[in-house]
Amino acid sequence: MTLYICGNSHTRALRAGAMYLEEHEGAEPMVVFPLGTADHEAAPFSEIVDGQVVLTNDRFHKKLKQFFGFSSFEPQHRWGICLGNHNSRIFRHEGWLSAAPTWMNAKGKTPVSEALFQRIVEDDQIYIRRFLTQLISTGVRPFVISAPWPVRPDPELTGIKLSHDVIKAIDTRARVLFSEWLAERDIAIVTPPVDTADEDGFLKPDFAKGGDDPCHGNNKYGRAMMRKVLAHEAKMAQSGENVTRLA
Amino acid sequence: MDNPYKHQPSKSFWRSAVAEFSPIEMDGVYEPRFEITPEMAISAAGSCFAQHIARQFRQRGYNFQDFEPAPRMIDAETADEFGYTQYSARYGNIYSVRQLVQLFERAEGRFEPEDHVWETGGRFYDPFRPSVQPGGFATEAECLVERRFHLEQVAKMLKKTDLFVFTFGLTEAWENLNDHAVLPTCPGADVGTFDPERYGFKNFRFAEILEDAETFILYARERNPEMKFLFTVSPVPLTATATDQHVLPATVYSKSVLRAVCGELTMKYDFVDYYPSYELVASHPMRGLFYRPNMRQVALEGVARVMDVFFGAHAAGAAVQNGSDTLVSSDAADA
Repeated sequence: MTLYICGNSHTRALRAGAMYLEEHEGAEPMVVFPLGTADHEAAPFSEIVDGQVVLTNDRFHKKLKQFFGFSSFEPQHRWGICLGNHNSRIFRHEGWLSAAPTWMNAKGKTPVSEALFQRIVEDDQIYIRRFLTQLISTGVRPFVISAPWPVRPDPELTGIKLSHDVIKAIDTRARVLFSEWLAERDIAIVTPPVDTADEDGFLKPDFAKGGDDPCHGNNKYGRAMMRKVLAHEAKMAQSGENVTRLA
Repeated sequence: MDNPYKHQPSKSFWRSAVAEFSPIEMDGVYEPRFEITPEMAISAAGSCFAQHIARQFRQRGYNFQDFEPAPRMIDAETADEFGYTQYSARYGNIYSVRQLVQLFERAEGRFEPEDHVWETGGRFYDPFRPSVQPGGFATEAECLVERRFHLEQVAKMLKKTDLFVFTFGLTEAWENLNDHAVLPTCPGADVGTFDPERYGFKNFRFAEILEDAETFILYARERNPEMKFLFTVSPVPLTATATDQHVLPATVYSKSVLRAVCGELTMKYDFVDYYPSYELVASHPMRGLFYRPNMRQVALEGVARVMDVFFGAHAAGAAVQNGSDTLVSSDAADA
């Protein structure tokens, strides 16, 4: 079964990794393409039409057709969805300059409780979650491929004056919440390889795209991540979990 | 023959001020005692109706103070749901002046109530503002961190307030019998556990409320000697009474006492103004028009009417000086 992987701009590193693995490590052919950027997932981008999920965002729709040859997501295909955990959208908000998660007990900062933080994450992921729910409800069995660990922000580049502790606390908790949401729906998630993170949990510089790019992994990261994705798929194949359930 | 009523203005006579007007046409019901300038730092607290007043001050460009603003990552709807932006800090509804006084005592560390954190269904609630966190806090520690921050912000409030707006809500309350901490809700009604050995019903009487209000005024003016006060009475009736009375007379008692306290304060202190939001919604000439069908919740039209009259009076300009409006009315003989 051909593995299809689509998603936001983090899919570019996955594509580079997939091409490398096909060429150098004999991986089965797969189709990996980004559909757009993370900006596109922050607005409604999908709906169910005639029992199948279609992409309503013009760019997403066009790219799905152009790169994958599909107008919708059909149950007989195996999809890896690279959406979710792009948490820089959350932690780069300048509101965090005067606030902190309550569990950090940060003196003088507006505490953001667990429940409120959960709401912030839900609001950020609302259209991604809607899309995944639509896929499940139409018989598609997707798995999710996480965005990389956060890149340690360079204030000179990003203008963010937040402490790394706050960023890490936000990112870590947001990842847990997303994983819990996926688990409740029996959707697997492939998380970034542990050895691509430094001791503080940020993406190691040699796995980051670098330069003025504040959030993406590089080709080396893409290779490491795709190895993990393929290992996940192999495990699923052994257990029969990636066999499409049409019923 | 001359008599004092002959020199009273038309607003003093029922026929010319009320009977000849529909509820939405009635004019001159409120004449501000002092001007509210755009520079005045305004803080607000009170029962649920006070939220409307606070919101309107904010929306109409007054210098409304929010010492505990919502985190900027959340939208307005979520902020409201989590108890932000309703008042000048995230204290939720404050129905009695005793509760208000105790809030500032707690903020300054002068009162540490026995009721610490309530646990219900594995979630944790602040007994003094159980509604600000929908579904409660995840842990006791979380509740305490949030409370510490909240009280720190409340402690800053009075020094930076020029006008304190308070809406009196109820005379009925529940208190801890050991330390007399007044709670905004009855324990066990929604969250918490009702223990008759620990909690008791309190129906505040005129003298108690007046004393509490004067305590608050004294306390507040120690922080800012120039502070002014705008008091109102909420037109929202009791949801239920814990007395043995019917809820209607219990409501009328409650509102009457609160209204009388406001009257007393206004007569006693020239830096206190009373705004008749209660009269504009609940009095019989309004014919119940401004209530929803359950005759309890105030309809949006009622809120709008109350706010339009208030801000219309203030926009009209200077505060009215006593005796400046002396139109002679033909109703004088009827009075």
